[in-house]
Amino acid sequence: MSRPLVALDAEALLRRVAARVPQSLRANIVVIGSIATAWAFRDVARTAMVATKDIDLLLQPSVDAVSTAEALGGRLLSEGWTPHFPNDMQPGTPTTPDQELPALRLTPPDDQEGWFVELLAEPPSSQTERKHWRRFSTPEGDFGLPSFRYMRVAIHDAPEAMLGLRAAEPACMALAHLLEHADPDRTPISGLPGNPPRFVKDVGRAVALWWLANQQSPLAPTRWPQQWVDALMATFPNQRDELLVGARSALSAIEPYLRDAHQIAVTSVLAPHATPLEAYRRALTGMTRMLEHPTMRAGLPRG
Amino acid sequence: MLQILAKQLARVRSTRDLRAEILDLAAAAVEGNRPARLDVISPVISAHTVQAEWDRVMPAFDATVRQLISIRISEDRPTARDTTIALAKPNYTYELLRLLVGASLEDDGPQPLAGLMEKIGASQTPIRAALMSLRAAELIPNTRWIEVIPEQLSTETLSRIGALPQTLRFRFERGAQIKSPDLLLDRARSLLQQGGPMEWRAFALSGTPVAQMDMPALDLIGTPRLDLVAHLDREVDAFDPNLLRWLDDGLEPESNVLAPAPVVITLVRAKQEFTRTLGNPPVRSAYPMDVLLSLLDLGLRDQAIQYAKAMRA
Repeated sequence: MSRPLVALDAEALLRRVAARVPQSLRANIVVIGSIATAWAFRDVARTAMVATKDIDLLLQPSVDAVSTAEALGGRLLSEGWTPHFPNDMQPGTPTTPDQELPALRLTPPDDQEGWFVELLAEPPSSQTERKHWRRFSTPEGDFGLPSFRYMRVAIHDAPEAMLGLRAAEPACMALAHLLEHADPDRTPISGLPGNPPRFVKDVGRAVALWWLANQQSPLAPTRWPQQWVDALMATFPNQRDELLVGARSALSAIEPYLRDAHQIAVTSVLAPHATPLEAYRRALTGMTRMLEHPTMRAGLPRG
Repeated sequence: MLQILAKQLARVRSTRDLRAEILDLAAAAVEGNRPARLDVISPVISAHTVQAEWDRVMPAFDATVRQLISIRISEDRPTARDTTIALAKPNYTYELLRLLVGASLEDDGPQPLAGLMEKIGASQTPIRAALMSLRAAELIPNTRWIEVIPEQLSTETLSRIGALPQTLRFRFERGAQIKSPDLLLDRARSLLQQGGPMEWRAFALSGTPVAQMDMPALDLIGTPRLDLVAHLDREVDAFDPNLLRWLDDGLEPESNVLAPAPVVITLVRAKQEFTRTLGNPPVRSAYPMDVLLSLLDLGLRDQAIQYAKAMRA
């Protein structure tokens, strides 16, 4: 199903979602993606409005993600939330292969705005493939719980946003996007004009987050390097150096597609800002330069 | 960080040449076991063709090689922001006058020539020439009684004797999101606090916000522009405008001295640096002499006179 993007109030949404999540489960959930971004930068736009339609809820810890998904999914379904499916998919049966299960996307009852929550899982530390599916069961049938390999970076040190619900830090989300595309995923995105490769959207999002962070504080260029290093040391301490090289590769890969990345960003997280292409281009340059920050260099082998 | 090997390929005309460069890049990366980047500059074939060829060739390499190499395609020409601003030699008349203003605001009486030379870090010849200019404009009674009265100064006088400061002016480039002077001031305060970036250690806050911290009753409303002082050694011959990116990434040099500029940097070239911390949280701020001169530059002479009296009281 392809629905148009709608302008949502991140603060109101977080409050609504938090209120619907059993208190015992809130500590297991981190909001990521557009809503987390709008929340983090609500002072930049003087509003928490964001153009999006999905609210990504990442369930952690990884080992409990399936049971959390079953508890949360079952609770929301029992309260009248309705699942909806892309491409006319249906809930799986016990014989449906894991990779063919739909993700659980739930629209709240009496929804007027067209938004939905989507459940994702923290990846197990052993996950090496880009995307991994785990099966979980609900009264409506079986669904898949996707996990992306660098999502542990994205949710590192996520602070509480609302009623015990946490929201991911932009710096960490940006780094996760770059790591995911050290080897760029060139799968076309069918839902976007021109079907740009997947990495254009994700790496472009990272650049947008960097631009927003610099609008929020001129000290972002000194804070992000520390956040990145902290996140990598907490999640992939033995791969820090090669992952930073990969992050730089992702930024290099986006350059020829910068116009496309900008176009996608200004219709999503940059929608309230009308960021000019030139500013976006400079953000890419600044972000690339950030990788030369002394905090990043410390401990890395000399060339 | 692991030093990246960058190879430049300017105005490439064919995919054959491009492929040869990619192969060479991959070999160099593997030999050195370090990341390598091909910088394709202003290609004659389209950027799209360059990228498509890169994408086509990549599967031929092992994944470990692909991780090491990258491409950057640039069709842009350097802009004004990419080039440094050449600095003129220090204006010793201004430097001398500035120190004399400072001495007056501190009620320090006439200044010894040797002390002025030491603070400025210049030899006797340029300082004596500067003294003669001040004497000719009747700003000092004679070259042995070296003292000025700041209330007598005006931009016209400074201009007439060649004692205007060296200033760098910045504007928002076309299409940039314009920030108000108050917002720029907020951002500058962050950068000038303890723990701010190394790159901004030469800067101090000046102008009306500092004047108001020194003298809350000063007849001023609002912030007309952001004034900064940059202390640069007299041997420095260039200024990097990219330093202003910390403040806002849309700022670019304004060459028209008559056009209003949201950010003005006054360059101080004297050897001895005078800064202090003011406010809560403390912000690196200019000395009253620089603040007074910035008020004059803003055309706020009445306020400059009020300020001088208050500082001396």
